[in-house]
Amino acid sequence: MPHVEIKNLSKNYGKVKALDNVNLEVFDGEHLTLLGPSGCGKTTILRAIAGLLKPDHGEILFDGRSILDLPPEERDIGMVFQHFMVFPFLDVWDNVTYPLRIKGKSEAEIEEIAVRAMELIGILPRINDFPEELSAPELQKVGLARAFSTGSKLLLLDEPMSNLDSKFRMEFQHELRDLIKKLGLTAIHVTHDQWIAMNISDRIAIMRKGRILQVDTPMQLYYAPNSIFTCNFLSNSNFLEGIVEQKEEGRSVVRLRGFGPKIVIPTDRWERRQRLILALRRNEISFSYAKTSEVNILNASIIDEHFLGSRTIFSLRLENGDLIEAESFTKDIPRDLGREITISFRIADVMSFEYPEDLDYELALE
Amino acid sequence: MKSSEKISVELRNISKEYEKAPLLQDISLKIPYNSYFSICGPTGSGKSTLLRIIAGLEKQDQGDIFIDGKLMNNVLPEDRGVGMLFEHMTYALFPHLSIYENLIYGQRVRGMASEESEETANEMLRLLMLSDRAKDFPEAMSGGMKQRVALGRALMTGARLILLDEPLGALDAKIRLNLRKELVGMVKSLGNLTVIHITQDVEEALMVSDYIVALFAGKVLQIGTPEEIYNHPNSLEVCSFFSSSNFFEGEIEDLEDDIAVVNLQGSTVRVKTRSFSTGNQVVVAIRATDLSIQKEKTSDINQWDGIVLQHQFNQGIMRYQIELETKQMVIVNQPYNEKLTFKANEKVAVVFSPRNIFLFPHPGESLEKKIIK
Repeated sequence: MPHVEIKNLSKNYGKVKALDNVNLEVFDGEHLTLLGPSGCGKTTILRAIAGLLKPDHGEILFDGRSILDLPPEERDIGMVFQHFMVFPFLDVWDNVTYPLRIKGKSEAEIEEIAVRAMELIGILPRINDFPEELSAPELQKVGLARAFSTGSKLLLLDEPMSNLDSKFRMEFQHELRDLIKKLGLTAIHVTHDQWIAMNISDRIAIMRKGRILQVDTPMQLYYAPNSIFTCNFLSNSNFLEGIVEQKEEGRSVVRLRGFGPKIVIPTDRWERRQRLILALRRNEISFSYAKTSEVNILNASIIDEHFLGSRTIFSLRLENGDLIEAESFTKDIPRDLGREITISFRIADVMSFEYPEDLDYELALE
Repeated sequence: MKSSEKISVELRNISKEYEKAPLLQDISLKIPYNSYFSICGPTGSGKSTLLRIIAGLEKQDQGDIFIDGKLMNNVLPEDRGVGMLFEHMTYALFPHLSIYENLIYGQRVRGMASEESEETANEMLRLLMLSDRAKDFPEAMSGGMKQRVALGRALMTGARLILLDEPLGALDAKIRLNLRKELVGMVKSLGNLTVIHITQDVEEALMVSDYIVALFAGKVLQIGTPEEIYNHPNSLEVCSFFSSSNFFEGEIEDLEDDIAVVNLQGSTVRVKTRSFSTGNQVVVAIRATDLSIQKEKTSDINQWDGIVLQHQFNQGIMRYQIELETKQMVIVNQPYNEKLTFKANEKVAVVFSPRNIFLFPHPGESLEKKIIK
C-alpha cells in the first residue's frame, strides 16, 4: 500500500543545511536505506517522515496525500530503533499487544493479530518471557512484531543492528530483511554501515551533507557509482590519477601520473588531455604471471600483505610509485615481500571520474 | 614463540568467578616483548575481564600476573606501567586541551616530549585521518573522532605495554577498515611496544595480530598465528567463530588410506584425515567461501544437488542460500561473476574440494551450543 514521496525537503539548523532540497521516492514493498556518515541528514529525513520534526520546506506524501499536518500518532507508521524500546516489566506478549490495547481493540482481535505477527516473526515460543531473558535479535523481533501488529504498512528502522554483536549482526541482517519482506512492509531504514545497507536493501540513497548523491540498487551503486565519494564509501577501491592520452570508439587510454603505465578505460566520454581519477576495486585485480590479454597489464612489487582468512590483501607499488591494494581469494600466491609481479585487470572494471576540485574532500569518509 | 624470548606479560592459572559462575578458568599465557596479541571471542567469553585483570582494574580469584617478570597481584593499576584504552574510557579526553595536546600529553608529563615526539604526534594525526583537526578541541568532534584520538593517546603514553579493549569498536565501518591496517603500522613505527588487543571482530584479529588467543566461555581453546587459527582450527568453536561455515553431522563409513568416507545423512563426502576411525560420529565443517555452485552436477563425488532460495550481493561477493536435496541449508559465498549468476528457485549443484573440509568429533547433543554465530 504505502508509496512514499519526498519533494524538495529542506531543513536548516542555523546556518547548517541539515537537508538541502531532498527528493526521494520509496515504492510499495521496497526496502530503501538512507546511508551516509554521521551528520549527512539521514536521521533528519526519518524524523520528518515520523512527524518528530517539521521541515522548513517541501512535502512528504503517502500514496499521494500530504501527511505533514498529521500528528505522529496518526501517520500510521511502525518503528524499530537502535535501543530496543521494550518495557522491561512486561513479558513478550504484553509488549507486543500494548499498542493494540491502547487503541482499545477487543481481546479476540488482539489475540488474532498478535498471534499472527508473532508466528510470522518466530517469537511465539517466547511469549511468556521477559525482555531480560531475550537475546538482542529477539528483542528486535519483539519490536518488529509490535510495529507489525499495529497494522501500519510503513516501517521506519533507525540503526536496528547497532546494538548487536558482530556475529549476530551478520545473521540477523538477512533474517530481518526476510521478515520484513514476509510481512509485506515498505521499509525506510537509516544506517551508517555500508555492509549492512548493501546486504539488506532493495535500493540505497547515498547521503552526504544534507543531500542525496545517488539512489540505486546495491549492485548499481557498487559497479556504477556516480561520484568518487560513493565509490570510496561503498567499495575497497584504489584511486589513481592520470591524463587522457588517446580516444577511440568506446574506449580511452589514460596515462598514470609521473609518466606511469597506460590504462585502457571503457569509455570515450572524456576529452583528450583531461585529468581524471581512475578507480579500481581491489578484488578485481588479478595476479597473473602469464600475459592473458594485451592491455591493462602492469608491473608491480609486493610491499606488504595482510591475511584476512578467506582472502589476503596485498599492498603493491606500481612503476610510477603509486601504491595500490589488491585482494586475492586464492591461497596459492607466492607471498614474498619485494617480489616483482605482474597484475592485470579487465577494461570494463576501470571506473573513471573527472578530477575533482577537492580530492581530499571526495575521499574523506565523514 | 621461542623459549628464549623475553616475556612482557605472563599469566599463571588465572581464575575468576562471578556469582559462582566461572568467568575465567585456569588461564595461563606468556606474551613476549614486542608482539601483538589479540584475545578474540564472542561476547561473554571473558576477554574484557581478562584484560581488566591484567590492567589491575579487577582482581583475579586465583593465579598470578607477572609484568616484566615482576609479580603484579598487589600492584595498583597506575603503577603497572601500562597504557590502556577501555571502551568506557573512550571519551576521557582532556576538554581544555587540543587534539594535538591530548596526544602528546603522556610524553609531556613523563618529561619525554621532544622534537621526535612532535613528529610522532603529527604522524599519528595523519594515520588517524585527523591532520586537519590538530588544533580543534574534543567538544567539536564526533564520537568516532574522539575514539581515534583516545587510541592515539593510548599508543603514545610512553608505556611499553598497551592494552586495547575494542579500540575500533564504535567507529564507522569503512573508517574501521582503514584504521585496522594503520594500527599495525602505528605500532610498528612507534617500536618496542607489546600490545594486547581485545576484539570480537574476526577479520580485525586476523589482520592486526602476530598471535591470536581464542577465548570461549572463560577458557583458552587455541593460541596461534592468524594462519594457524584460520586454517587449522582445533575445535568446532574456533572453526565456527573464525569463519562463516556450514556444519553437517555424519559418520565415518569407511577409511581408504588417509581418505575418510563420511556419510552425511544420505550423501557422502571424502575428506583427508588421519585422526578418525570407522564408525566415529563427526561434524563436517565447510566454509561458505570454500563452496561454489554451478549449473549441474559433473560428478557424484563431493557435489550435491540443491535449489537456490535466496541470493544477496555485497562487495563483489554473491551470498547464496541453498537448500540441498537432504533439506539441509547451506550458505555459499562466491565471487560475483556476471556470466555465472543463479536466481531464486533455480536448480544448481554445490561443489566443494576435499582439501577445504574440517572434521571434528561430534560433541554429542550440544552441537548448536558449540557452533558460535
